[in-house]
Amino acid sequence: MPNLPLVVENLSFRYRDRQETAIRNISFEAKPGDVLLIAGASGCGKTTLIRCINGLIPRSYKGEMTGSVRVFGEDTSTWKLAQISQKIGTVLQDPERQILGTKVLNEVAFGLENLGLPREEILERVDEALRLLKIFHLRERETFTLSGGEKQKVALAGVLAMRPSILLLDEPLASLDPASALDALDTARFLADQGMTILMVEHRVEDVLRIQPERVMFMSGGEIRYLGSLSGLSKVVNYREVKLRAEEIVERAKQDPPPAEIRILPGAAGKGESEALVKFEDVAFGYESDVEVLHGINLEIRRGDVIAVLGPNGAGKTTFVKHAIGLLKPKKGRVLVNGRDTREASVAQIASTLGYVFQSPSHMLFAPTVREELSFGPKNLHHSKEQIEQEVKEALRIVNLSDKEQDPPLALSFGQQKRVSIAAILAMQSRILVMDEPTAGQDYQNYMNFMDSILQLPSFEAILFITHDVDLAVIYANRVLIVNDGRLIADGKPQDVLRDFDQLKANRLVPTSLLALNLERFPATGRFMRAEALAHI
Amino acid sequence: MNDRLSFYRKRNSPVHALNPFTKLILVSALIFYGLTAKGFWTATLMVAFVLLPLALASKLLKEYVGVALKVILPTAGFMFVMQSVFIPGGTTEIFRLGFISVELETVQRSYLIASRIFLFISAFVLLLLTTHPSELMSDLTRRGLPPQFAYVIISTLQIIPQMQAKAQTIIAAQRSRGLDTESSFFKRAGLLVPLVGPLVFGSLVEVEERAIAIEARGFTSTRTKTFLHDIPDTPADKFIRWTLTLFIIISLAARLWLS
Repeated sequence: MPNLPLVVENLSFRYRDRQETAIRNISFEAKPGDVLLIAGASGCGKTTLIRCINGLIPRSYKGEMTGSVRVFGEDTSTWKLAQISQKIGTVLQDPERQILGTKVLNEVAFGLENLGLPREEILERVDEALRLLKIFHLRERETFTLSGGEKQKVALAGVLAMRPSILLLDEPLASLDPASALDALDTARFLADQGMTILMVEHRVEDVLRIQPERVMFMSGGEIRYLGSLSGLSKVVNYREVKLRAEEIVERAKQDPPPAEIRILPGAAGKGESEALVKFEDVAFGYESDVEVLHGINLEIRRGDVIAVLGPNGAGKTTFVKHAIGLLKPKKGRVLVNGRDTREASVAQIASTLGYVFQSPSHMLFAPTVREELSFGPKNLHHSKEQIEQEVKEALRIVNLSDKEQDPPLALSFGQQKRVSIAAILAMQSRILVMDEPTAGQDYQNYMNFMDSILQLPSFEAILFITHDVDLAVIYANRVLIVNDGRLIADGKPQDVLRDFDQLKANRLVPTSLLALNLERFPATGRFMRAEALAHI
Repeated sequence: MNDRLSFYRKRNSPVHALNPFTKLILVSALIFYGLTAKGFWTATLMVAFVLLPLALASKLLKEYVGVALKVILPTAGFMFVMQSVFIPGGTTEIFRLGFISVELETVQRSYLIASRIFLFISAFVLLLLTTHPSELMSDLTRRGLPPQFAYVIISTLQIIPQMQAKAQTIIAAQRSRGLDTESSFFKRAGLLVPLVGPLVFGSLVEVEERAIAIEARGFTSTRTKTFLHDIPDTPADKFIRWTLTLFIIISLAARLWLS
């Protein structure tokens, strides 16, 4: 057998402070030019596998490791990290934590400087990597001014400049808008076609399928459950666990009983549309006095609205929704919550009607146990002890974390932390719920479950969420907003807004198989629905 | 984006053009002289006649005065008042308030300390305003400082604005959970945990992940590093550095000889 870029044999690992093994008996190999997609639910051992391959296990994360990782025929267990890094490049899930240089040029050159390459070669390789990723225009920018998507590309450029033979990508699409995600995938395909071996951990399976990965690995409970060609995957996995193409789900779901009908926002039903819960009147805003980032936003959030806010990275979506809770006050115009100007109410007061889930859970979580974390909000709102008890239990049930009540939130996985942060707001029983990218970094089954539960809660009268996932808008929203460049580009029913593919494209959105199928069946269905439901119509 | 991750402000000025190491020597000389000189007004005069003109020459007078008034003056002022009031030891009483007596000698000594602190911090602020952190790091590493040390120094310099930006987000997140930060001071003091908790835990996790990230990119490689940029080091820079060093030695010698 020739020396393959990567051969993993019987690999098992247990973290020092855990009882159970994180991965067990993992064996596979990867050829040059392979794209290997690694899928599986949160906590299935994907990240542990990546760490074993790039050498962080056992060098930085201690524990008990058996089996071997061989790179081009050599066992890497005796290699230094610096040596491994020349063969294996890793891009982390959160690019924020990977970027070290203050300027893009320095950031991309960092690894090459450490390797002691001649200066001309460094500059040549840096420019090559920047051009390849189409971000040459960012070369002289300060890294902290970049958007999330741009940061991800810069982090990738820094790794590519080292010309690794193997590239490990840990959820590279999590924070990208759909068009940027496609770009990133095309780049991965291109690199593989040049002979690189690519291992990609990703929840957004359907997106990755577009670039036809050579092989797919599906992990569950620390073991490989499926390893093989793309076509075999849909036969092995449950369509509720992994997001397959809509046609495949429809095909498979026909054999199952139809899914239960979801009654969206039962609390709003029967109360009529009446007055606006939140009202934006010609709102303009800028962080610095001379630069305006939001322009002339007019909007009413009414009872019964489930609003999806779509738009490219850095379009002003977060800035826009932060006005609803009064964290930002408009420079021009005004925002009314329950008829009250946000300038005249404190954020704490608004919080009793409007709950806001931040994008990053690490900005919220602090308490020693999940339980205390969840009771923090209701306590601030002076709920009674019995009430809090009830609210915490219910919120934990919805996000499927009832067994973690006594765990420290910060010891949980990223996906679980995100769910704790959502539960922390749910426990406050506000009437309006606002969520900033609730499903980012979550596995399909988990987020579908908690979205189903949240939408059926009787306490909410309106829900608004920011997302890059067009299907989330298709399945759950009854109103879609597109925000771009600080302006409200579109506002209407999903079937009207999402029908205009040219407009979607102009706003870096990409039609999905589910959207296409829904539009095709719309004359018969009269509304958008999930693929499982379409199977029975 | 309104938050920056370093103090640095780009300008086209003679101070910016100086080599980072020269500026570091300059700051050290100022601090050394300010701390050891016996004169009561020395530190104050140095702020007025060295730092302010330097800030003006850097085209950063507004920014410098802003930081001095908002951050340094309150710190130094607080120390001055506390020391004047609570540290006994003087003989000439100026006034008495109940059991607290304030003496002239204590006030003088407190002023001396406070003015030195003012000089100390503001000299560093000027260095940070005019020097890009990565340039300072590369220059020091090139002069033989181990990269690990340079990294620690730079992280420390960058951490304040970083923490500030992060603290703002955390405060926003907790206010959205009904935390009333707009209430009275005593109530606020009790609510420190939800604000400081994420800041500290978050930073610890970040430090660890960063350490891993830099290691994964060959930071600890034993090969000689390449430096991407040439940082200009002109004869004028060398002249200034030698003059300052000489100045320090002479002033030290003069003091020893005179005493």
